[in-house]
Amino acid sequence: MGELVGVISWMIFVPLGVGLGLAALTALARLAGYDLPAVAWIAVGFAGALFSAVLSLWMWLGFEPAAVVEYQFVEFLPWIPELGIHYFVGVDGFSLPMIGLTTCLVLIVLIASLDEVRDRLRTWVFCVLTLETALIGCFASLNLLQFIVFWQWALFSAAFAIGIWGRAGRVQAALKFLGMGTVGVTAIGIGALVIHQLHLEQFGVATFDLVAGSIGGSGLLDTLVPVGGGVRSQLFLFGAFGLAFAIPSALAPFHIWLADAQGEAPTGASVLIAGGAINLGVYALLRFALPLFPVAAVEWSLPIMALAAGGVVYGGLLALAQTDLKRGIAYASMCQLGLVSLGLFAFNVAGLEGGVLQLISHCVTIPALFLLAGMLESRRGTLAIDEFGGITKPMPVFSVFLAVSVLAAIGVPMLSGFVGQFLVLLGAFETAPWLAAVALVGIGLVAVALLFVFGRVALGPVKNPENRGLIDLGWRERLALLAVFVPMVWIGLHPETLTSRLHQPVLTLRRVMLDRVAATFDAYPDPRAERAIERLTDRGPGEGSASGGREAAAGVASELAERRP
Amino acid sequence: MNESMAVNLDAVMPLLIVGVGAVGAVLLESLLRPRPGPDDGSPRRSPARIGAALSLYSTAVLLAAIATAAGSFAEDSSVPFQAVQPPVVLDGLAAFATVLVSTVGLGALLLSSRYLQKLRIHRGETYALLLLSVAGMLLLVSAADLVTVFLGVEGMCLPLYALAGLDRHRRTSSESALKFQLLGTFASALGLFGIALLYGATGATGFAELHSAFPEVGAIGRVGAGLLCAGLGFRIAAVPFHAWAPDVEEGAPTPVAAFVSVAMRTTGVIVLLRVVLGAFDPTDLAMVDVFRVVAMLTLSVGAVMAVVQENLKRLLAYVGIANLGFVLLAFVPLSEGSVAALLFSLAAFGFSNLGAFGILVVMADRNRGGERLGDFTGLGQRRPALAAGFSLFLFSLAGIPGTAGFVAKLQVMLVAVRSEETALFLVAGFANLVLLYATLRVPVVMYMNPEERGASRPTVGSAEGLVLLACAAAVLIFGLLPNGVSFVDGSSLIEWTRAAAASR
Repeated sequence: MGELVGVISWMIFVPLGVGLGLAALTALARLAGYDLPAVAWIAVGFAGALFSAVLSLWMWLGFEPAAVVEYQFVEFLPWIPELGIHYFVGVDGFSLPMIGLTTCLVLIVLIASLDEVRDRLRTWVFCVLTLETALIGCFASLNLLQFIVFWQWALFSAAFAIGIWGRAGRVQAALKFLGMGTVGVTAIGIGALVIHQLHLEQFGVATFDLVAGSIGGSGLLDTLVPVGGGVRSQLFLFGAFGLAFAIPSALAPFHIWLADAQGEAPTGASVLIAGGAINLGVYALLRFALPLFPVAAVEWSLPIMALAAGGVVYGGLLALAQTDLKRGIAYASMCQLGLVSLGLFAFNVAGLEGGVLQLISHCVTIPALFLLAGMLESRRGTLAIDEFGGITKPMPVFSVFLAVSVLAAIGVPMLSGFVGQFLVLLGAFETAPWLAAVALVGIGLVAVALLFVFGRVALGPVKNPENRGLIDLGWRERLALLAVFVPMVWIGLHPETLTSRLHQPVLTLRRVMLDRVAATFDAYPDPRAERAIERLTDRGPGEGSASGGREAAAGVASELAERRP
Repeated sequence: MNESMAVNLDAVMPLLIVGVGAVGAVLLESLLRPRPGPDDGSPRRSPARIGAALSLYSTAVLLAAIATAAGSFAEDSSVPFQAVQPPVVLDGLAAFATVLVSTVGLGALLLSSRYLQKLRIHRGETYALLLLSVAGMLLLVSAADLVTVFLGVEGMCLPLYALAGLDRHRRTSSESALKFQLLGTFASALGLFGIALLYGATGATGFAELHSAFPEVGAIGRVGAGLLCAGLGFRIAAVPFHAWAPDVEEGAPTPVAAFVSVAMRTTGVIVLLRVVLGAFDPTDLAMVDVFRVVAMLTLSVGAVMAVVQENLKRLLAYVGIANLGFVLLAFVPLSEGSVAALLFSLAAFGFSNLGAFGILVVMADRNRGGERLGDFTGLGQRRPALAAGFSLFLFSLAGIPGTAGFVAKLQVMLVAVRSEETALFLVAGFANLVLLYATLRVPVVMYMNPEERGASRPTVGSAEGLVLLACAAAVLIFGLLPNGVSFVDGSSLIEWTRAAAASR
């Protein structure tokens, strides 16, 4: 590793560089009258993605879970320093698993595309590699504007993947996906410019950095009192950031893009959207919105939790009603995402950890289901559930994989879905028991829907003669599926791998929120800030005994008690 | 005496080069033109060779002008002001604008030759007219007096009216020329009336005198200022003075449309900037109000109308209007920081729009094809490089990150936030969404719709390829490294715009 560029930069830019290099090579080869074959693209692209994946593994091993330093592997380069825009990357326990999953899923998609993608394979590889660059770039961003830049790129790559390689309604689906995504990005962009300006007015420094990236630098979180101070402006700004969170996370009224995009998308794009692009909203929330506007976040939390719980039920009902396999999976995905939001906005340790765990489980189970659906589609050319039945007989291996993914998706113990779901419900029961109960109903609905789908596809006699001659999975398909199944089972059996890395950032997040809420209360004694302090000082289940967050909370609570007349 | 003469010549040197060069182009064209008469067997000069000779000559002229202006910029960026008689200044702003306008003119010139021959409308006058128009623009961007402004506007526009009607056999081209000239003359009259009223109210036409007299100028002078701004508003196609732009840009030959859309607009904005900042009072409340309303209208009308266009030249015209709206954000109110953002926006818009029109030039064929959205179906497979380039330019016009347009919009939006123009800021954010949708229709058609059988596979001429590559490089470099690289100082667009804004 050179001194200028660190491991994260290599991870971000090698896929893009490989894609551009291949494009240049193809153009040169064409000038020389030679056509660079698509297999070469896949091979070299795979090598590039593998490089990133190995680096992410290396980073995972080198990451110190209990370190006091907030961000590790930090790199900082000035980009447009006059405006406070820097190339500023680093990881913590939130982004580490997301980056690891993204690199892993890209490898899987590249393997699977040999069987899936029949048309314009070279462009496809380019598209996937740019999407990987954009996604990793997002997850590593510690500069708000840089994050937005990468986010917009990710949206474009994914939308083109849907629009070019998707099914019949692909163009409309791609535009819907891109349009709604861009509304979110524009909202967060407007919010970013406003908070930048408020920070400039208040502290005289132009910055988009989250924390100070260099000596003498300044970050949005460096000052204790949230910029703009007044609770009202925080509420508006959180609205903008919240929109950017709600759209990718498919929160109930903003979920309308999900089934169309995922239903029409090619399998590879579905996998990367479910396992990568959707996380961007949650990431924006955890990294930027919650620490920046804690009072507003708490103030908005109940309505958001209500939408989330309602979304779980609604998604479950819709999943029951689907006749198309991919759309059914999309609504199951919406349920799981609803649980994520429910857990995060409970704001206690169990809820936050559970939300992120649930999200990571979603990134494994839903892509697995999409991969399996894609394998059926490439054999039969259709995804209508009625066309299938009794697949167990011609395709036993496939059916086992399908059964395990369905069980993981509905949260059966020992598989990845369980721990997250359990923690989310635990956290939500603490703050809003009724909503947790509603969500529980939704979980039941989606479990019924998925099991029902499994039964109709896999079990029973082979009614449709076309299904009799189906060939079971080939070695490439088994390899791709195994790569998702290892984390799926591992998370279920040994969740400490993740929780040990998530614990510290969750505590840090709660501490930062609490500190800033208290400072807001000091500066502007607003009843909303007081309510937020009460919410955040509640001892939730799962909080460690010697946690910094709890001490801070206790300290603030006693201060608060002293201040009261 | 001698020394001041030398300074005078330095200050107007780019203008002199282009003006004299234009006259030279007329002479050269008449020398080269094949004479009618009995065919005596001597080798006839083909239009292609005449065109090549004239474009080489004009390229040399424009390059000389660019080099002179860039040289003076490099030397004198610390010298704030350089006044000469006649009332012309060569400051950093003028040098920046001279380089930009001449570069765009050069681009339009290089796009012309092959296009005009392809459409069988190649005429030798084109080059001289183009150079004359550039000369008018160079006079305008360094104007320090209202009379100079008027002269410059006429010098810029008269050749353009003729150029718009170059394709005489086509009804839309003649219509475009007629519309352009009628409305242009009307705008000139408005502007002239404004100048007269201002002179009547203050007894001055020089910017400096006007500026000192402006605070107590009274109603007549204010009306005059409004009329002058309206006249300039026509030239930059700000809403509500925009109606000519889509028609003219659709009808005119494509390189001319590019030139009108970019160079004339850039010049107009620079003059408006000089007038508002140098002769009027930029913080005047009424003026800020007017500019706010005009910017809002320009943003929303341009973006919304762009959505429904099927002809790509019209689409680019409306996209240009919307982009002008973003430039106008810097006028509410005008300050040194906003001038730098404005100059960056002009450069970003210029290269993106020139590149987009360049793609249309390549796609054009004799039967007026290559202009409709449908002509681009499946271009991503037929000509991947052209499709990628077109997407890049359109993304830049829509302000997608990674392109020059994004950095430009970021800067002007920050100006709007800084001056606490909340409503304007939100309108701009919304307009950008609409604009994105409007421009995105083209990549959608190029990549997502299936390829048509028998569709044309246009070839790219070397001059056109050069222009397109240069524009793409500019869009990417200004977008990804707007601040240069850390180990090369003083060579980035942001620094140039700052220096130009500071040395005005």
